[in-house]
Amino acid sequence: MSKFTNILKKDIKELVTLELIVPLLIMVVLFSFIGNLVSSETKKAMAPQNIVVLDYDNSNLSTNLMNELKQGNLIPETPSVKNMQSAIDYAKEKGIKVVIEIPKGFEDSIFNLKQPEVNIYSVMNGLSITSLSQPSMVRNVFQLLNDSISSEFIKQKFANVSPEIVKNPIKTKDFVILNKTVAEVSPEIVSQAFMSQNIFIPMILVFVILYSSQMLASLIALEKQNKTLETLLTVPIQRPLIVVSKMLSSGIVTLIISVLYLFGMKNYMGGISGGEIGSTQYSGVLQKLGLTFTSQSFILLGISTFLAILAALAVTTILAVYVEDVKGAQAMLTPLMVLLMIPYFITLFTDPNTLSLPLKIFIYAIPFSHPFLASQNLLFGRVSFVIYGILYESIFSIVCVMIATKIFSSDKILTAKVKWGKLFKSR
Amino acid sequence: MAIVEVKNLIKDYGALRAVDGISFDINEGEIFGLIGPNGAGKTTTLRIISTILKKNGGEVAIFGMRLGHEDARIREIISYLPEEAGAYKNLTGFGYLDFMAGFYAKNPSEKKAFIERGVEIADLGGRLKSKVSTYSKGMTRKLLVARALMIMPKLAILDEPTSGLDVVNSIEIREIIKGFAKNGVTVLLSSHNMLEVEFLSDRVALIDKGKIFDTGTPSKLKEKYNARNLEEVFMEVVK
Repeated sequence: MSKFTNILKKDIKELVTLELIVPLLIMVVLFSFIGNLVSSETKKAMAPQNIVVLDYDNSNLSTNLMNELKQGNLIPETPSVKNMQSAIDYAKEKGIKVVIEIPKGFEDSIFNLKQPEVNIYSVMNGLSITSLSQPSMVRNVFQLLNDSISSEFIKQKFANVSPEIVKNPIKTKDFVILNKTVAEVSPEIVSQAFMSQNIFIPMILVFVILYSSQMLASLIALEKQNKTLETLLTVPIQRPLIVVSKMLSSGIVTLIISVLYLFGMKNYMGGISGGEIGSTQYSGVLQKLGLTFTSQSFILLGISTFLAILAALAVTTILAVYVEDVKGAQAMLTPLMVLLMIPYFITLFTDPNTLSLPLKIFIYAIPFSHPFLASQNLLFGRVSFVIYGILYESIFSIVCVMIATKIFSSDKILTAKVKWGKLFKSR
Repeated sequence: MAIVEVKNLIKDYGALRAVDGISFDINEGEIFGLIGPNGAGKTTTLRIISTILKKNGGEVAIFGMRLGHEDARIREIISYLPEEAGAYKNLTGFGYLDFMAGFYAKNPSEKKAFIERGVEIADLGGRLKSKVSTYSKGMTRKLLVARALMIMPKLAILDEPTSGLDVVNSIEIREIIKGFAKNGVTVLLSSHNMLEVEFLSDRVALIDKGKIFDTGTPSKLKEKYNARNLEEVFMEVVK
């Protein structure tokens, strides 16, 4: 077994502790549990539900309304009760969430254009999905009914004209132009489709960079805290290999954790979205516009991501040299976290290319920005931006790794420390 | 024959000169003790010879290899025990010996021999299967001494080897160190426990404020300064 494998195995053992495994497993189980719970609640809400209808009109139109409700998965019950309060009591007793009151003269008022009022009472016991979805389903039925009745009225007045034209005299049609491709779709749909398929990329990126940096910082800080560093520095292994082992072990453990995290997150998101996240429902739109990753794009995105992680780990190594214990390591990572969050939020809410020049330079100067920017730039055909970004990340990473290994080969690894009191002392 | 040659060694921490032009030689198979109070420059000297710290001046050669030029080769033949050392808390005592032996052994059988020797020196019995985090300070120190000596280094550099050990364990460890020296291991140790150094060392150097005041065998130094023990010698020298 080589000396490098020896130290790598030890570093992984240092990281994979019960304190790491237990919360991780709890998180995966919890995410899956919440996803399943929300999914079953949603299914329950979508299943046919009973509602109470107090029909004081008993007309053809009110009967028609009840048939429409049945079509909308709502089963009307018409209990023989004297007044509204008794109907509400009946609903509460039976666990029914919605009571509809159709007033007397409902049909006549409609045909005389007097707009009758139908009261919809929602029995709320909490904020469950069922409590909120049923009134919405009822309103949808009324919307359909209003649409159908108004179309009838229009037909009577304008026999040769489509009711649709009277209701919407101007028709709009959305097109999206992307590079040289034109597709009949709204930009909102494109954005939604893009987000639904790529929502995990920045999330996982932030997670991987932050987690691996924290692990690396802890690993180096633990060597100092447990007073094992001095001994390690005298064993016959090249100093750069000590640094590489720490970086690699943090990367490997983070990768395993990310897969577990992604699995839990997928179950969670699948549950709350009914399995629509990342589905192929929009892939046709994206494919038509060329908004899909080619194998070349995946390779460039992968390289950019790898270099961002490497840069973060190298910066972490340099910062961790100045700490004495694990607590100090966490505090020392704050600047790194800020530099990571800036591109994350900016790419989440805006296109960095539309920002002012100084801001744009600032964003592009942060090495961790590039994988966040890469996916948009690749999809919108700005490949050269990505390649320049990769070059910049490479130079930054190489310089940082060289500084980190130089520090590990110098006295600084033992003697350097940040004096917080001096740092924050007012001048 | 001198296997460690230190000439005009200098080490500065910023404006502070921690080691101020010290010189000494250590012969093969000898136990050489650096004695002096806290802050005298003992640990800094040991750290420089162990290749951890860089010197600011002077020359050091270990078995003919020049420090600062052949550090990687020097690390293969030395073993350093820091004063405030610890072991990896997630590993068992056995796991720790196995991990450290992995850096020095050239093949599995040599590694096995190193570990067996380490187990014998540590003398922790079944507790070697427990995690280091459950060890007392004394148990950890014994494990660390075992780690330092199990590989039979050509030069063992021991900073306060019995620090944290009780009387019984201290005596045991001193005997082990003496035994290793008889088997050809050269030892450079430091301590502020002058009686311990007197018992262990063939020769000693008296160091204070970064300078060596005198070097010699304990008996000759006592005779020279007309003292009963090294403590009295030291007080006489630094007066």
